Amino acid sequence: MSLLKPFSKLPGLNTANILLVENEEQFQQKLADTVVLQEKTVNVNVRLARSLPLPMENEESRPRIDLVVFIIHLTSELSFQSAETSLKYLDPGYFQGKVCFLVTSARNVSVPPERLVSVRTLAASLHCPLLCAEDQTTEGVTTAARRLLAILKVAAGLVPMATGLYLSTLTRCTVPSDIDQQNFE
Amino acid sequence: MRSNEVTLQQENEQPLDKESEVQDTPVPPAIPFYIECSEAAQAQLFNECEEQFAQLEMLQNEIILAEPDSDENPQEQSVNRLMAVAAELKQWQTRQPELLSTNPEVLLVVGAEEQKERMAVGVYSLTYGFSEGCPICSPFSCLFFKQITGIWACSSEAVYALIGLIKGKSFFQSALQKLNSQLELVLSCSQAKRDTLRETLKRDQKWLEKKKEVLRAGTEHVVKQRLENERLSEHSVLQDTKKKIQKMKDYQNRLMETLADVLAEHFPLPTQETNADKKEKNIPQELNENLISLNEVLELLMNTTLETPHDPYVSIDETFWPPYTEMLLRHGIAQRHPEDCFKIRLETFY
Repeated sequence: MSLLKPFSKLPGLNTANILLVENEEQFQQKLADTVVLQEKTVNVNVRLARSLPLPMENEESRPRIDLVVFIIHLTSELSFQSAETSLKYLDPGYFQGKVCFLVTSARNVSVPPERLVSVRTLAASLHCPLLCAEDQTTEGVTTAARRLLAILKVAAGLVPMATGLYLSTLTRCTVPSDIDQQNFE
Repeated sequence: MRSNEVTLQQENEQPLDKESEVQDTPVPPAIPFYIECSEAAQAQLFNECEEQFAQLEMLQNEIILAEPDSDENPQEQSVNRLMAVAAELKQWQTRQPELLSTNPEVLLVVGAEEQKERMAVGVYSLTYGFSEGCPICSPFSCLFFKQITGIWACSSEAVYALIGLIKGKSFFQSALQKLNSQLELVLSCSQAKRDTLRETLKRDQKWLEKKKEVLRAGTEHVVKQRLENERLSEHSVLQDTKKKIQKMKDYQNRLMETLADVLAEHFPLPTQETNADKKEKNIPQELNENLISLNEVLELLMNTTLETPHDPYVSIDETFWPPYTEMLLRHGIAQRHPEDCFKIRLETFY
C-alpha cells in the first residue's frame, strides 16, 4: 500500500514540509522558490512531485509531509484528471486539514466554466480549501506563496491556537449554488 | 500537537532527496528582535523543550500504532471528520491557559518580542494596507477565528480594527467616486442631447414656416387659376360673344336708324309740290309711283353686296330716281359695272 500517511513520522523542529503536486511541472518550481524566499522564521522544505504515489525509494528519507498542495491548471483537462487519480493515494487522514487545492488561470475566458465548477465540487466534497493563483506575474506567485505558507504553518502546527482541521473547516471550498457570489473589487 | 513558541537560534536542516526537492536557504539567525538571555535561563528552556519533544514523540508513537485501515468511503470520511472536530472541540474546552515557562527572564523576553512584533505588524499594515487580511497567519483564519471563537488567533487585534475601518472607508470612497464620475458622465450626455434637440426644434420650426408660406402661395395660385378658369370658360366666352354680337346688332340698328333718319330728312323722294317750287319747270316730271326711297336703294345695294358677293350688281330700273343714282355714283358710294351701264354696285369700303 503506497498511501502517504500524515502522522507516521515525527515532525521536525521548527520545520514545515510542503508537497506540491502538479502534472505539468511548470508552476511548482517558481512557487517553490518563492515560498522558500518568503519564509524567514521557519524552516520550509518544499518537495515537488508530478503525481502520487511517490516513489518507494524515498520512503525512509522523506520527512513528514505537513501539507499536500494539488496544483490544477484549468486550461488543461489532464491536470484535473491527474490530480483526481493522485487523490486515491492519500491517506484519508490528510483530508482533515492537510490538503489544499491550488487553481491557476481561473479568470481565463477560454477556460470552460464547468471545469472550475467540477474542481470546486471536488474540493467541497473533501472539505478542503481552494485557492486561486495567478501564475504569470511575480506578484501573483508571491501572493500564492504567502497564502500557501499561511496554511502550511497552521497545518504544521506552528501557529498557536490553530489546527489544520479547524482551519480547513473554516476555509473549505463551497460550490457556487451554496453561496451568493459577490465581487467587491 | 503543541508547538514551541520560544524563539531561539535554530539549526539548519538540509536533507537531500531523489524526488526533486528545493533546499531552503540557510535561515538567518532568528528574528530581528532577538534578545540575549542568561545562560541559566537558556539551559532551563532547553530542558523544557526536551520534555516537550519527548512528550511529542510519545504521542506520535501512539498515533502510529493506532493507525486505522484506509479504504474509507466518503461517508466514513465525513463521520471521521465529525469525530475529529468534536474531539478537538472537547480539547479546546478543557484546555487551560498556562505559562510558557516559570522562568521570569524567558517570559520577559517572549513578552517583549511579541510586543515588538505587534508593533511591527501594525506599522507595516498601516503603511502598506494589506488587501489580503492577516499578515501573520493567513488571509482568512484570523477573521473566522474571531467570528466563531471571539478571540483573535494572532496577536494584532487593534491593528485589525483599524485596517477594517481604513479599508471600509476607502472602499466606500472609491465606490462613491465611481458613482460620481458615472453621474457626471450621464449629466454631460443628457445636456448634449438636450442641445441637439433644441437645435432640431428650431430647424423644424423654420421648415414649418417655409412650408406654410408655400401652402399659402399655393392656395392663392389655385384661387387665381380658378378665377381665370371661370373667366375663360366656354360658357363665359359664349356669353361674351353673345354680348358682343348683341352690341354690334344694336349698333348696327342705331346706325341704320340714324341713316334712315338722315336720309329721310335730307334726301326725300321728290314730290309734285317740290318740283313745282323749283326752277326746272319744263322737265317732265315722270313721277313713278314705284320710286323707292334712297333708303331703300341703299338697302338693296347693301343686301346684294352681302348676300351675293360674287355678283353684287343691281340693275337700275325706273324705280330708282336717277338724280339720286347719279349722286351715289358721283360721290363714290356706288360704281357702275364696267361693261354694263345699267348695273351698279356698292363701293368696296372694306
